Amino acid sequence: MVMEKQKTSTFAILFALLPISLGLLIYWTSESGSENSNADLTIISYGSFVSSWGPGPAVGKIFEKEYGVKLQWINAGDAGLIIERLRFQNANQSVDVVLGLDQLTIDGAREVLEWRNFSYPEILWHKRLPKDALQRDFVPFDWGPLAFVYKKGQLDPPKSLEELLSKKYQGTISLQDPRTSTPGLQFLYWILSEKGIDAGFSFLGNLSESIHSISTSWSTSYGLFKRGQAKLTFSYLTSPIYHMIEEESGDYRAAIFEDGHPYQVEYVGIPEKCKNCDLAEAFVNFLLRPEIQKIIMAKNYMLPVVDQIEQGTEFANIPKVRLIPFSAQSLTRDRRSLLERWKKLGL
Amino acid sequence: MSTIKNLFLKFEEFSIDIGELELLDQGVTALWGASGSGKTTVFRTLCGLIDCPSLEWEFQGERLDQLSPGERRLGVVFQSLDLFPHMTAKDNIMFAAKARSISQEVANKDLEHLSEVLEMNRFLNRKAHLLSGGESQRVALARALISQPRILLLDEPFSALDRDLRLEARRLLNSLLQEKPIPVFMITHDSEDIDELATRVCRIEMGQITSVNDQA
Amino acid sequence: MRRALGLLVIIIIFSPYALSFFHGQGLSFDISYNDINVFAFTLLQAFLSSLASLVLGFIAALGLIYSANRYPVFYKWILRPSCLLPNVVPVIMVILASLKVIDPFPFGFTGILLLHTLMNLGIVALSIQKIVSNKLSGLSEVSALFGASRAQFLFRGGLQTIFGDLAMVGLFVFAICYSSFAIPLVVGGSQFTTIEVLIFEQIRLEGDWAKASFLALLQAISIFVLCYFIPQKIEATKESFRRNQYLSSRIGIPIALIPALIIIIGLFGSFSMGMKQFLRLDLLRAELPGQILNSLVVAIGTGLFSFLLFNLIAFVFYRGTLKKIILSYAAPSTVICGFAFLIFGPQGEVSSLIRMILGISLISVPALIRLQFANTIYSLERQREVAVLLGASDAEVFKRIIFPQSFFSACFLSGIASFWAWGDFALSSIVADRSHTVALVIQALMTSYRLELAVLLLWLLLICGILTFALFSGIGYVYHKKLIS
Repeated sequence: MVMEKQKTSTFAILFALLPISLGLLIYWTSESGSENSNADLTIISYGSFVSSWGPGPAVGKIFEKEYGVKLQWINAGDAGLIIERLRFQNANQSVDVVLGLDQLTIDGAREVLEWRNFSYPEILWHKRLPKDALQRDFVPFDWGPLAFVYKKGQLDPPKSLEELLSKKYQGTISLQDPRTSTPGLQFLYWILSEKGIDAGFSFLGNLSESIHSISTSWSTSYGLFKRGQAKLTFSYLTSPIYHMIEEESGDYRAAIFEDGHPYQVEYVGIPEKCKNCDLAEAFVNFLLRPEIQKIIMAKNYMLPVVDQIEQGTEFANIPKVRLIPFSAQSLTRDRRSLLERWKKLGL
Repeated sequence: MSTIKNLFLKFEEFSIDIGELELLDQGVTALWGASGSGKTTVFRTLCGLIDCPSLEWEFQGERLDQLSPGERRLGVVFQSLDLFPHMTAKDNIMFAAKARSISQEVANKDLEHLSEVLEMNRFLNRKAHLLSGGESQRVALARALISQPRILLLDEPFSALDRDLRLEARRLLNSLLQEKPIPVFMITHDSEDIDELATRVCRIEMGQITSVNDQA
Repeated sequence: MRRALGLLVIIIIFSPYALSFFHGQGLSFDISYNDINVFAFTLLQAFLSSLASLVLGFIAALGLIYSANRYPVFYKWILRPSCLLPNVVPVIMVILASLKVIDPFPFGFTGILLLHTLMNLGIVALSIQKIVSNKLSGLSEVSALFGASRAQFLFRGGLQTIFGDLAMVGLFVFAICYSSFAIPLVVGGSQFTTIEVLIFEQIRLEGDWAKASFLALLQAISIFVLCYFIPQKIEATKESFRRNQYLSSRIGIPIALIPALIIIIGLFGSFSMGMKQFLRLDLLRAELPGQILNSLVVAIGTGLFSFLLFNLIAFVFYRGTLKKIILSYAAPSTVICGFAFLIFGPQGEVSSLIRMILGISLISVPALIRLQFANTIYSLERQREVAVLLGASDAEVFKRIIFPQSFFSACFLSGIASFWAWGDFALSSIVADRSHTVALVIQALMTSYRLELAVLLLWLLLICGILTFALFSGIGYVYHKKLIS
């Protein structure tokens, strides 16, 4: 009899679960607006920017205090998924600020949404930041040249792209797949703009001997490098500073190429459909303040867009490299066919 | 009288072709045949577990074929007995009473009677998976009977038992049937079952009824 | 009621597709020659991966039987959990660990097969162990008495006897490898693209949701058709194992252990750096308890929702067509499922957690049904028939026959789903608003140089996963014990 009761009660619990969960679902889907609808400003960015150790929370806290407002951060996970998140963001939730697009993704963002034009305040831009980095609808908030990173003593650093083809780099390079990773796409565009499309692909074909692996993401390829499986990885010129500051290790170095380096610029933009546009604009201006730029630099391990910020820090010692400007627009137009060709290389 | 008509079924390797078959209102009608003759298929079809659109089964003026398996009100004992292993012997029997909405009072009385006739008192509160073959057999029979079935369907009911237990089981079934004269349809390959229980014997070979004999 | 619940099951399991089509404004049928090649390759690698997993899994299963007979403590506490480990660790960790231990790593097609096999071998071994113990014990002993060697027994009838069961296990692995994403990309190189990668490309690079939806549908349909027409043998399985001296092998033990060893060795050794990073991140330390709590909510929620789904499915499973549909249905594409749920409901922390629970459950349950649950409920088929003949209603049959007897299996598998929930970041990173869970923190740590801390937290995640798994299967076990005693 006891057993019978027990069975019945378990059964009752199970069937109570069904209407309860359905009820919750219906309540949840009918609930309009966001749970954090009391936030004054909604900002979407990528995972490491909004994580507690990233610049987002630190910068946001100061802004909230100064303006007496509340911010809501949305983590889009991977930087490459920000645009898709915008496309899919629930209709009843407007995003005020989009942070973390780069020069390769802003065209896509322009197709999905309309963006407010921006009137730049008087800013002393970083002397080395290429002039073409400034856009009318997107404001750069940090940037950094890309470079191959290696560990001191493990190999002679290459000095040019051509040198990567050398036998001594056989099976050493960890790259990212341009189809799934932004630095990977940067690398492909770099080669193609530097060498021309056909010659670029034939260079990549020749490079296959030197490649250790091609990863889906920067984090995987950097992980392979850090764990010692690959000796060279495509990353940022600023990567060694992370190891110096956080791990007190001076072993990591960036290989300086005489013919120059590509660079990534990260942007912040305000969609036309913003809810609190004035505050959004204030936030963007706020990001360009020297003290805020310093926080972004220190936490994101990227260079500031405003001049003189890195003085007195490790970032001031970054080697001055030649930057290769390239027109992402012409390449992004042909992206589909270029990636098809990349796939056919079978790297 | 209960009449089965047009039991036609076609499978890849064999077919069932029974134009008409009459089951007795009292006593045991046996379907007797070797393995593979189609006995079990006929049995499962009558239970409603195999679809047979052509079947007409009239039982005392009611068309059973038009009812769902549950509504046919059959008392069934399969060869494998199929007791619910997680329930006690008693729960197994009472499950059937409850399923047929038989009042608790009547069910309790019936259970008492059945357990006396079938000598089940010793193991009524034992979990079914702990029962011996003979004990399981008696519980399966009691479970089929407590639901006050129109007809009792038995599928090789004694084949899993050893010889002594088989004799005992047949004796118990006989005494039960004398008390409760309900029609029984039994399929078997065992000639002893035929000799000791059957009133009418329908011989089945390759899906067809080849002879029908009434026994004294 | 069964009909209505059947419809509900169909609506629930197909909801990711329905939502995504609704959002994608239809489908784009623009399929290129290249896409067809990708399909062909995806099929090929999935087939060979499942074949390799079956072969090695079989040998490992003999090892499991051997150790269960000889060293029951080692079997219960070391070997069995080790077999489950590769399936619950985030894929990216399996990749990093394998590349470290297997040096030089055979990149390319071989690499894909190798990693898929490493990932699935353990769970396949556990399933085959059960099948062999249940179905071949008696037969093998008889043929041993006749003087047949083990190989003779297996190749002249033994394997044939369990062919249908092996096909079911094979299909389980096939479905996982068929929608594999990270492994082909990292170790296969760019020419080895799978459909899942193609779907991701369409969304991320082209923003072509209509084509992505179409590819996802095609992915689902192709595996559906395959499963629909392969006769899937589901049969009653008994929980108890017979001691089988004949069908057991010592060699199987190291094979069963290798995948877990690779992961443990590969991820070992960066604790001090991980701790150092942890101590530097004050905010993370403050946030971590909350994130653990969120992960716990997601894990328990996933377990409960999966449990509910298992029972709903058990209730409706016996309808012919529905049974076929449920058995043929493979988990939806993670990317599609993630985005489908993203458009559903409001934003915010609670909503993100609910989305994770729904998404992870919908991805886990179809695989687990194929792995075990179908067998469990199928074993109750005869009892259900008898109960129906006795006049019991559908609800009564479920309540008194199916539910109590499938409870243990449903709890055990819900425990696995909850374990998977701890480690999920593929779906979570799409549907989450912030780094709500430990897995998402691990992902964010990896994207900001802190790999060692990520690995350290992964160990935490594994321990928590084992605890929730133990909770679910423990409840099931206690109930089961009470039920049969």
